[in-house]
Amino acid sequence: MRKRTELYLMRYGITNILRSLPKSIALVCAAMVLTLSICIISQSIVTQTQSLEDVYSEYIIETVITDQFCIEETNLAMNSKYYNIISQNLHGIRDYITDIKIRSSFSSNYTYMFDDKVERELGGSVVGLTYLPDEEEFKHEFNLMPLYDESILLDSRPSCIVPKRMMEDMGWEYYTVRLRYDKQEENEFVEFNIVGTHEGPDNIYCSYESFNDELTKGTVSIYSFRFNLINSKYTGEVAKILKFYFIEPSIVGAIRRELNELKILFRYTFVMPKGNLDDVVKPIESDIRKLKIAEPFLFVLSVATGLVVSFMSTKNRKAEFAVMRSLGTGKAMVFFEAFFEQLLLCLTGMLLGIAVFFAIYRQNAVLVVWKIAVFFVCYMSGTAISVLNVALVNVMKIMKANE
Amino acid sequence: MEKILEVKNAVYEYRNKYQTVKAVNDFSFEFERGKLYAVVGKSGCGKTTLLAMLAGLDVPKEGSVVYKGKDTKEMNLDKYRRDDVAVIYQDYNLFPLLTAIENVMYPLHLKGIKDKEAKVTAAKMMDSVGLDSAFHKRLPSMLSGGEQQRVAIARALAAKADVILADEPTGNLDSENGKNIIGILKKLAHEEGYCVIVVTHDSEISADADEVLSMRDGKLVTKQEDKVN
Repeated sequence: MRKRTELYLMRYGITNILRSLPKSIALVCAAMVLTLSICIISQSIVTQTQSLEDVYSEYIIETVITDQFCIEETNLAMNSKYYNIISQNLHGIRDYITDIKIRSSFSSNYTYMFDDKVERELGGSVVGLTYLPDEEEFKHEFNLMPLYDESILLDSRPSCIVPKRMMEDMGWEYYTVRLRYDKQEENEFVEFNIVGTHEGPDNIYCSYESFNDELTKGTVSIYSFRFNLINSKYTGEVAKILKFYFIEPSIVGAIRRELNELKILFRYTFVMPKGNLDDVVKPIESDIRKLKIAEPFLFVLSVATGLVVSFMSTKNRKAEFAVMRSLGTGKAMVFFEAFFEQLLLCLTGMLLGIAVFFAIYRQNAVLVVWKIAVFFVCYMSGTAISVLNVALVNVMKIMKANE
Repeated sequence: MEKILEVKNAVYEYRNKYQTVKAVNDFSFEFERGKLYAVVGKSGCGKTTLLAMLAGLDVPKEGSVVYKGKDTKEMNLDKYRRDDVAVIYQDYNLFPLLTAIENVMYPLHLKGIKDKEAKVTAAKMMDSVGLDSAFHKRLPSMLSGGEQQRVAIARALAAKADVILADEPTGNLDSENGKNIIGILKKLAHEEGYCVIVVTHDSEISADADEVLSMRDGKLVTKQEDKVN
């Protein structure tokens, strides 16, 4: 029976809506305008955020860490552990860090041997690389074997490029070479796969990780460390980390004579892309900020509108609800009827708002669906307060008014 | 005659921040089936408050209203209003956006009666107060005062309640319509066995009533015995 009564009250609500059409249209319009505003604001936030992301990914920031005199050839007294620290700190944004180029060198006191067990002194340096320098940088040619690919130098497996002269002396018959720092024990050598030759001085270029792990018992000199940040969004975060270990440049060419927290005087630079990133980013960020401020106000406005609109629409119906009560309709049923009417009007307005939004912007409103849901809850909360006030109407007042 | 409704030492107070007024003060009376009662008195004497208590809109602060031996304080008042009493108001209080027949069908729907059945019953009730099918689909705004009051009576009858309470039912009507309404109420009491209680200033109703209850300052001051029948 209760179910049938509820169904009847729903029908009563629909009848009321249809028979007071101008008022109903006004209420639907209010909900529609609010929904449309929320859709537009939310969509603008989505669009602006997307454009910001696009801008960020369009700019590549080249980060260079060099010595205090900015001369690439001057060795830095920088321990390899900084590389590890930075790698760990940048973990969250590691996907956006590309082209890490580190060169480490130790210039003397290495020995090498092939399978003939005769150790020879290396005339040049052992250099750890994460990349293959081009001819312009090293001023000599590389001849790489078929098994070489770009990932080898980033790999932790020991592999190296040896001087062509060394291989010629040995008759080209070896594919591995053993290296040992002369202060190490005789059996502490590291065996490297030979992946190519070069025509330069007597240096052996090996993969950076294997060089660090096995051969850096003494001080390591790094004289070049650079990487590209392919999403400029993280410039701030990278700068924050680098600032901890290195000194931030002030003005190009000027050097701040102060030490970082590790008491070491290094500096880093960001090579900014052409055009000023801030000029593009700041206005978009400002727009997003304004929209994000407007958004909660719109939700508060929704509560207020729900409250006022329902109040206005039920204000003149107090007598009607009192009569309902006097005829035996329970408070809950009166609330149900009045709330159902408002719910129907709000839903209609909301759907129309979404439809208009789609028609104008051709955007999928699903993107902002949860915000529409928040609006709906806000609006209906306002409505509920107002309707509750009606459901709790003092029926005696109707009688007293007649007295 | 069967006693159906009894008021026992009922007290009802209205309070505001300045004073407390006893609108009904130690009122006792027994109402019977098949009688038309007129409650008379000056404005503010507590007639309507008494009617409101009888209608189950509230319960007395002290004393009791007893329907068929059961105190309304112990009853579900919504159910009591739905099934046991029906109220007719001076200004009709019809639902403005429902047609005449839909207004009469309202209490039937509340009871969970199916639409088709409710429609047949409502049409009968409207017929019984002299409103034929031509009036069925009219909104209250398209009816005269007398017609609206008849619809209100039909709505009260549709509820199948034992007690019909009327608050100044002729107050907004011309004398001819007033007479018609009085005639209907009288017929309901005497021919159909309803207990009809009318709060009125109308002397014609008082004259036609089986008993007249005169109120002053919330108290029953006179009790006139049945003069008709």
